[in-house]
Amino acid sequence: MASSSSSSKTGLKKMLTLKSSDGDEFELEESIVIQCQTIKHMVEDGFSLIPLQNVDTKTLTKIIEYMKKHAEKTESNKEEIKNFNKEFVKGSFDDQFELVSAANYLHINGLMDLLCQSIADRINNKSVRAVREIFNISNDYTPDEEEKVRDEHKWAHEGGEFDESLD
Amino acid sequence: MGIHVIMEILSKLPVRSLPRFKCVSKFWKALIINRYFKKNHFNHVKNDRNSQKLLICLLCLRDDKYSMYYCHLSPLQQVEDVQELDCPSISILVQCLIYYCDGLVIIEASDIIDSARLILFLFNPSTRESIVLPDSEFPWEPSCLGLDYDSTSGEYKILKVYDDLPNRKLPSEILALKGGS
Repeated sequence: MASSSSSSKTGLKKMLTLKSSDGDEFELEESIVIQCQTIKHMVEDGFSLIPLQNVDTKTLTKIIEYMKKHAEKTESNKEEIKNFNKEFVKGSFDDQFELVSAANYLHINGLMDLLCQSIADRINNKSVRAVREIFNISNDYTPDEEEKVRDEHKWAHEGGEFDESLD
Repeated sequence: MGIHVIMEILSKLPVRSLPRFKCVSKFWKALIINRYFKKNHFNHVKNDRNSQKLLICLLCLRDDKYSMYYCHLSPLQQVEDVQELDCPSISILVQCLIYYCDGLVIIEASDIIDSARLILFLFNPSTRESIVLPDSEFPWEPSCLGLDYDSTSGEYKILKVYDDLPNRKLPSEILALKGGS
């Protein structure tokens, strides 16, 4: 923190360029980008242009938005960050899956936790069928096998309706 | 989506949803019953105050049987969300001695056919899974039990210590629960 504030005073912010899989380049301060462990290691190895082949422009823009906001985190703006996080996880499942895969690849632990928790909360009351659709998983059980797995924990499938919606 | 990401998402689910999601696919089932996943999941919920629950045994005087109830201790959950648990099927709970550790309990119950025979169960109220523990060497002797996690071997162990009666000394027994089931 001390070094970044003193360098900004002197105007000597170290800048890095992130390049998405679509070829778009984003220039950012090093102090923002090093929240991401993967990039931090590349910076330590002397890279200043960082190609991210697994992250498209749309996803990278969102991730940069997250990193910028979280770089501003202090003791006094906790509520603001909380509200930002709440808005951040509101997208469709497909967008969230893109983001969580990128957060995993880039090793941004805070973002990974945030996204996984929000996805878990959203699928918690979903039916098995809805979860398959959302994750694009084909059912590889035969009807008999599925019945058997269901019978192992009958209680888990009872007690109220499960949500069939896909959003 | 990579396996690591799916594991991370599943590890954020409350334990009561996991048995249901075993039905999603064979792969999800394999992930959920994986020993490493279980440990990871447990470490996550252990420190989460909203996951704390209370297990209650009530004696019904009418038929002299115990019932078990399970409810959340979290202020976020409604008090009405109390689940009645079936005790393991081959037994009747006629006496309720409970020993617990990390959300696992040992329950002493009577055999449904031979009510004089006592059975010990290891029971996980969250997943409602139970196993019958093997009979001990001296089932009739007065004793007390202990259950704890042995971090050196990574397994739960049960210790049975017999009361020290005059003229007789019975050895203590230790049962190691392997395989994380």
